[in-house]
Amino acid sequence: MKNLFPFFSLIAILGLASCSKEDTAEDPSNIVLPATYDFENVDYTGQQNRLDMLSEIVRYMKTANKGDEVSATQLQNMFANSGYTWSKPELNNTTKQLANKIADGEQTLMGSYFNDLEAASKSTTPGSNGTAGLVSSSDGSKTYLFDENGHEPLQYIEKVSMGVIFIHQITEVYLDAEKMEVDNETVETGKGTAMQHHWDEAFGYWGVPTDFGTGGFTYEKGAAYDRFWAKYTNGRNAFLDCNKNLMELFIKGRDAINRKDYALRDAVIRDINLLLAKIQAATAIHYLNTANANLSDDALRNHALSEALAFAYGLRFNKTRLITDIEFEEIFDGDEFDNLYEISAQAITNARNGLATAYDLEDIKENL
Amino acid sequence: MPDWFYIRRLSLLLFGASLLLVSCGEDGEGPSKVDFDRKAMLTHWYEDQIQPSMEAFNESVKTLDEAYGAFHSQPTQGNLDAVKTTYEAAYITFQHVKFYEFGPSANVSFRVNLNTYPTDTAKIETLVGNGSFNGGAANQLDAQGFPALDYLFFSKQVDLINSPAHRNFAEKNLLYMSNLSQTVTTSWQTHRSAFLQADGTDVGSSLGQVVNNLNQDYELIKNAKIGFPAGKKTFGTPYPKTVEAYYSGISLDLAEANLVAIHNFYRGFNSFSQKQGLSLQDNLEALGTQAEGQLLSDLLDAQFQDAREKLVMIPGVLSNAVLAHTAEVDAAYSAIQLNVIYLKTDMPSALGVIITYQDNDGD
Repeated sequence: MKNLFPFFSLIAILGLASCSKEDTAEDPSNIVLPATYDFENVDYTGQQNRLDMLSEIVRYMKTANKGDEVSATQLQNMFANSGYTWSKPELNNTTKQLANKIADGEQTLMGSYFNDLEAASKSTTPGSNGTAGLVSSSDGSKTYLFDENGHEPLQYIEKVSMGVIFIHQITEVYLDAEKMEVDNETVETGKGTAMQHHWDEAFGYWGVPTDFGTGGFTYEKGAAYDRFWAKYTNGRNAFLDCNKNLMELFIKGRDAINRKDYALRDAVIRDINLLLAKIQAATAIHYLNTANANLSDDALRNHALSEALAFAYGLRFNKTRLITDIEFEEIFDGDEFDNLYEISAQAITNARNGLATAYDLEDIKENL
Repeated sequence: MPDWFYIRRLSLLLFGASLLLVSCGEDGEGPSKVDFDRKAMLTHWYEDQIQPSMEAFNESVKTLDEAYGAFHSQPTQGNLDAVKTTYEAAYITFQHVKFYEFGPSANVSFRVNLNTYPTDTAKIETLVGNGSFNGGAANQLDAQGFPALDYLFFSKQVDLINSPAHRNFAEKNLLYMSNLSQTVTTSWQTHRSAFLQADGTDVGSSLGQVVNNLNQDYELIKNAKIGFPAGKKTFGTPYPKTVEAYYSGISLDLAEANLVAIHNFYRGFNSFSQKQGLSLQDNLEALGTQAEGQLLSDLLDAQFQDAREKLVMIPGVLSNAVLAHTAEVDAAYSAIQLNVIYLKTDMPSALGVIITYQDNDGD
C-alpha cells in the first residue's frame, strides 16, 4: 500500500501541471523549441543572394593583392547589381542589390573606399610608409595592398559592409519596430506572414546553416557558409559560446512570433542585438591583439588593424549601441590611428581596453 | 652539480609519495585522472619565476641607465666600458623574461619593442641626424631597444665619445627602454590574481599562455637567432649581419641565456629567486605521457640539455661561425629543432592545451 502514495501524488502533480498549461497556453517554459532553424514557410534567398554578391566582390578585390588593377566603377556596378554579369548564374536573375541596403549616409564612405582601392591598385611600387602598394609579410606568406598610410581598402569594403549592411539590416531594419509591427495573420505560402518573413530575413543576413551551433554541428573551414558573420561568430565562439547562443535566440524569437508572444519576441531582439554587438566588439579586439602580436611586421600589423577598425566601425550600426560617436573617436585616438606604419603598441592596447570596457569584455580581452 | 638538482630530487620524492597516496585512494584507476596541483604550479610560476625575473630585468635596465647617465655627463672611454658591461648584463637578463610575452608584457608588445633585429642603422642615422626619437612607433621598432644600443655602443662607425647627437639618441632610447621596463614590471605586480585565477587549460588559461609563449620564444631561438643568419630560410645563403647583437658579438651568449632560461623554467627552477617548484616537467611526469618509448618529461629535458651542449660547441662569434663553422652551427640548429616537436606537439597535447599563436584566419 505504501508504494501507491508516490504514484498517486505523481498523477496529482501531472494533473495540476496539465491544468495550469491549459490556463496559460503562452507559458514559454512549456514550449519545446525546434533544435534547428526549421520552421514552415521560410525564405531568405534575397539575403543569400546579397551574401553571394559580396563574396564575388571580395574575390574580385583580392585580385589586387596579386598586382592587378581594380576598378572603382566595376565595384559600384557590383554593389548596385547593374551592368555587371555575375559568375554565379542565379545572381543575374535577381534585382536584389547591396547598394540600396547600405545604412543612410554611408554610401559616400563606401564610394571613397572604392576609389582608395583603385588608386592603391595602380601603384607600381611596393607599399611603405607614405607610399601605397603591395606589402608582404616577413615570412612571405601574405601579401596585402595598403594605401600610403597602411590602411587596407579591401578590408574596409568587406568588413564595413558587414556593419553598414548586414548588422544594420538585421538590427536597425528587420528586427526594428517598423518591420516587426506588421501583419502576423496572413500566411503567404513559402514566405510566412509579413512578420515571420522579416524575422527570417534578419536570420538570413547572419548567413549560417540551419543547424549551426547545434550539438551535431561541426564548423568546416572552406564550406559555403565560411564567410562574413557566420565565420566571425564562429571565430569568437570559444569565448562567447555564440554559435549556439545566437542560434537559440533566432529560433526562440521565430517561435515567439508563431505564437504571437510579442513581449518575448522583443526581449529576444534585445538579446540578439547585444550578442551581435559583443561579437563585433570581440572581433575588433581580436584583431587589435593580433596587430600587437605582429607589431614589427608591416603587412600583418596593418592588415589586422584595418580589420579591427572596420569591425569597430560597424558597432555604430547595431541598434544596441554601447558607445557614442564621441567615445568611439576617443577610443580610436584619431592621430594615433591615422598612420598605421607609425602606431604604437600602447595606442593599440588603449583602443582595445576602451572597447572591452564599453562592451563588457574585460575578462577575456587579453585572450580574444 | 647545481643546487636546484638536489632540491628537485627532493621535490620529486615528495611528489612521488603524494602520487602513491592518491593512487591508493583511487582503487587502481587508470592514469587519466592524475592529481596534479596546477594551482600550486601557477603560484610558483608567478611568485618564483615571473615576478623575480621581471624585477631582475628592471633592475638591470636601471643599472644600465645609471651607467649611461655617468657616461653621458662624462663621455670617457672608462665610462663607456662600464656602459658596455652593464649593457651586456641587461641584454642577458632580457633573455630570461622575453618568453613571458602575455598579459602585461603583451599589452605593450614588450619583446618586439626591446629587441627587433637586425637593427636598421640607416634609419638610426637619419633619426640621429634630425634629432628625433619616437619610441614605440611601429616604423621605428628596428631603430630602438637593445639592437640599436648594440650599434651605438659597439659599431666602429659610431664615435659615441665624440658625437653628442649619437649620445642624445642613445639617451632617449634608454629612457624609453627603462620607462617601458618599469611599466611592465609594475603591471605584472598587480597581475597576480588574474594569472592565478585562469587555472584551467582553455585558450585563455595561464597554462595555455605559458605553453604558447614558451613555444613561440623557443622557435625564435631556432629561427631568428640561429636559423636565419645560418641561411636556413634562404636556400642556404647565410646572412651573418642578421644575428642578434651583431656589433657586440654576444649573439651566442644571448642564445645560450635564452635556452637556459626556458630549460630552467621547464624544470621549475629560477636563477634569480634560486627557487625550485612544480614545473611543466613535473606535470608531464605526473601524466606519465610517453614519447619514443620513454617518458616525454625526460625526453624533453634530455633534448634541452643536448641543445645547450651543441650550442656552446659553436666557436667564436656567431656571425663568423655561420660562414666558417657551419658543421657546429648545423648541429646546434638540429638539436634545437628536434625539441620543437616535443614542445609544440607532444607537450600541449599531453597537457590538453591548444597552440594558437600561428592562428591566421586565412585572409
